[in-house]
Amino acid sequence: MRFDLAVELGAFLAIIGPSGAGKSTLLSLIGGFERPLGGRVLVDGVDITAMAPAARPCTTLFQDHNLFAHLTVEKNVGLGLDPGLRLDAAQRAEVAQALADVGLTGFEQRLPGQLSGGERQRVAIARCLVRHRPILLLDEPFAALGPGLRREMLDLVRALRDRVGLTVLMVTHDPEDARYAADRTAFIASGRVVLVDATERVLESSVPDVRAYLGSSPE
Amino acid sequence: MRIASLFVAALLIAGIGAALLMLFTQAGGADIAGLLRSVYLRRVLEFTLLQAGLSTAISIALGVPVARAFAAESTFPGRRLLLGLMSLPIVLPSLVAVFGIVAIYGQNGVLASLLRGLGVAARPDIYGLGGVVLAHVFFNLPLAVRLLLPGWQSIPLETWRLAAQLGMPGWARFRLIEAPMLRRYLPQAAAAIFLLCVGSFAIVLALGGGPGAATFEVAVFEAIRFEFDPPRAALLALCGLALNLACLTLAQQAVGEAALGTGWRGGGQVWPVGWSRGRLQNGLFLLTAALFVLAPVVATVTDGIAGLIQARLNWPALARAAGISLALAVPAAFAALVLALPLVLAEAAARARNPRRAGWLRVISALPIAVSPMALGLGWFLILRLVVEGLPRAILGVILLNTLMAVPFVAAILRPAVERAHHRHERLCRALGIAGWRRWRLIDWPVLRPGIGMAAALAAAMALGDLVGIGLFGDARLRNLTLLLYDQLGAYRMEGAAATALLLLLLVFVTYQGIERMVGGRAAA
Repeated sequence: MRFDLAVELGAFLAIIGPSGAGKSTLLSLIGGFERPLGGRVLVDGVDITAMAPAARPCTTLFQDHNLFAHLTVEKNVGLGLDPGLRLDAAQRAEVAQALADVGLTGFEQRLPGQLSGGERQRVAIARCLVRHRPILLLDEPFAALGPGLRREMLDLVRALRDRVGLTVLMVTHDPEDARYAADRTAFIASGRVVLVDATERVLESSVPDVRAYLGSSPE
Repeated sequence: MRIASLFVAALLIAGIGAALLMLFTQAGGADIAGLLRSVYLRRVLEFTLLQAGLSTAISIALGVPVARAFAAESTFPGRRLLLGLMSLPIVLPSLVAVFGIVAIYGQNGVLASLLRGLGVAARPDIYGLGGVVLAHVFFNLPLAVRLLLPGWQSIPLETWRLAAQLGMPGWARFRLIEAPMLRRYLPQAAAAIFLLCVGSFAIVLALGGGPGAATFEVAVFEAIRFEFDPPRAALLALCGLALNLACLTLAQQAVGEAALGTGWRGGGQVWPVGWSRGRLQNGLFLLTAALFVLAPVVATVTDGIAGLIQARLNWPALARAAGISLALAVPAAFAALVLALPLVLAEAAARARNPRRAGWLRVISALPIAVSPMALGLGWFLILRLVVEGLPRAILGVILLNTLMAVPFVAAILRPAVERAHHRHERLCRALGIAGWRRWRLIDWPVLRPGIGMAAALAAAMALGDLVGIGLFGDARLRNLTLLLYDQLGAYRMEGAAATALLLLLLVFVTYQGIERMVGGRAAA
């Protein structure tokens, strides 16, 4: 695989493409979960290629297993402030505020098992908020949710982005998600970035790979 | 299948019930109050619990870092081989292991001579508590690894990534990720190991013995074979049975599958590459565990080859013993298969419609584990004494006991494959009207064949190494390799024992491979 991609600060970029094309690998390279064989990852001119995941200016939301099942919602979010979980009053207040931001006021003492799939991902988003990282990486975190709930979550992410000023990179297998939420879209195939442009233009592009993936001719 | 399974269930219950009934009848003639108050009984109980407790604690304490190292080092050359090594003790006859352990750690063992070479005058005493615990750790450290590794494998990759993203320090990773997993996996593993050690026979008989170092299994054996006191033996067997059941209730479903570790998957990426800290420690743990398991086996092979060359061996007697070993073990393995298969098939069929029936079938297939081998063996020894005589009695007794003992293990190996096949094919078969013999021939047999081959091979390997049956029923006319090895070890005829141990090891290996290939077909090879 060989990726060449530049993302503007504050963008909401969707990443689409056939499965196995390398969408998640690209996100893992940025998040620091995999190391490139060559090349660099730069954020605001700073080379982060060798940084540990925790030190990077990004935070990743996975499709699954974002929460520890045996820890309360408050502790799960609190981990974003102190990975050793010694929270002072100010930090607990910040956790409560983050939970309020994602619409889960009063959920502090619940366990993940008592929440719905959408609520669990909201808790994970709350943790992303308290980490204060400028880049949010979404690795299909809403894929398991129904269409209505998915839009709700995308709305939430968009609102938070506008308020906090995040740069969002979102892997999705549904072009409609891209159309709904992302200003720009990157199309990836066979380990290469084939096309980056405004979402509408990518979805209506006549590039053969894109057409083959979307399975329709442009209107 | 329903009728067959009911028949088999009735047969198993009758086989176990008859043995228990016999024990109760006989025990009535013993001085119950006297024995229960005796120092002897207390010492047996103390030793049984002490050695089992120590063996479990050490196996787990060492098994945790080794399993962790296996999980952390998910890609290195030879990992599969090393994992396979951890399964070796399943088929290794206890007495062969005893020989190997004596050859390494005994008075004149490799370790002692190494120490002497360094100028340390060491005469380690392998007999007694120390040796028994050492041999139990040899068998159960690998079991602990097999039971605990799935725990680490159950931790999703995302969780490790999350920990890295949050910058969790090592101790927080342990406290928040690994400790909760261990709370689920450790009790089961410890219970299974403890139970196996409480019911240990061959190892304790060979390395312990006497009132100071006997489990109930050994005490029963000594009472019937050395003192020929059936009432006392029966009473001791019932005491052992009570202890076994008490431990079993604590352990509950930890036996059966757990004893074999069927939840176990080999290989697979479990830990993000290049993140594991302490690779040096991991390597050391893996190397030490490999050496610990491999050394006695290698010693058995090298000493065995030397023994085969040097000693004046009675080849006709050895060949005869090997023949007897095979003639007793192979029928028992196939009988166990014939009994276990209908039970497991019926259990899978009942799973959806009648879960209670499925539960009962499962319990029945595991019954022989709940009743200790020695209690079952003694019961049938006392019954057969009344009906058959001489050589036929001995042959019947050994095969019967080994069949009964193998059923739970055969069932545990078959169960996952049968359930998977049932889940996949049941609706299709019903829709197409494929049933009965036709279904067995066209659908079930081809799919289940590898599992059946493996189960039969394992049952044969276990029967080849069994000392309970042949120890109770065998004699000079019916002396198989295991009994021969036991006699030689007891008489400290180490050269002869070396040759016999190697032959037994080879026989187990060849039989296992042969059955797995013949029954399991090409897919198993």
